[in-house]
Amino acid sequence: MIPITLDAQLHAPARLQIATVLANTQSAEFSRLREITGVSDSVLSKHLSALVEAGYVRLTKSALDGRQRTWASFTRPGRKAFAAHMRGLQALVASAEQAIAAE
Amino acid sequence: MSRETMSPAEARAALESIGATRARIAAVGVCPPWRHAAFGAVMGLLILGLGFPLGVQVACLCVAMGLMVVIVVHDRQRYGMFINGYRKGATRPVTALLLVAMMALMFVQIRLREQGADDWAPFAVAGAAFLVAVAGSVLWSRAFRREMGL
Repeated sequence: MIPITLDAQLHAPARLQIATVLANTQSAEFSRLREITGVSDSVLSKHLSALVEAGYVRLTKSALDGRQRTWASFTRPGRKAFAAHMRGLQALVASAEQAIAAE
Repeated sequence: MSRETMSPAEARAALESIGATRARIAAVGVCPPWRHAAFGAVMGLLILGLGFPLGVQVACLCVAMGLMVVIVVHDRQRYGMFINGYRKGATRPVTALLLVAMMALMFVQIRLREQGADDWAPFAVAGAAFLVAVAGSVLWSRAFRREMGL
């Protein structure tokens, strides 16, 4: 195993999916995030709360179709952390491929 | 910020998961033809108003803004996501080109009005704005989907 520093807040697969959606949109609604991640409401809430606590995600409420909906968006630190995490993953894969090619 | 280690295989799987999620975003965000036409209508109305006196300009602006609000509300309901047209990435050159084209058409419309051009001229320029905006919207969507890996 090659040691490399990655952001533990974005390590869980569901959080990585949430982060990918938020990195490519301005905001996403709770039910859309649930559909994409395929997790339950409570699990998604836990992941979002953890990301909010880390300062990566901002949650807002707004009415849609007469119902209150929760929208999530990345904060600036969240966007930067995801970009750094992506670079870390890519560097890790690239270094492994270089090691294989060198053998 | 806490840090963690990961094996190359896990990193590859994570990157594949990111790719799959991006493809899902692109699949969700496919725009129907009328959505491109609605955007074209907003831009066409904005340009059309400039060919007429202030009262008509204000009326066109109000209708165009109202239509824009309807589009944004619809997008949020339909897609459950909001994607900023000015976002960074492959779509930005398309946005920049569209803005330049619209500015040029605004300039043409104002000049024609000042020169007292024929009655049909404002409609011709607005029609051109509609077509350019529809083409820009289609190209923007394609660039976005390509960037998302579809």
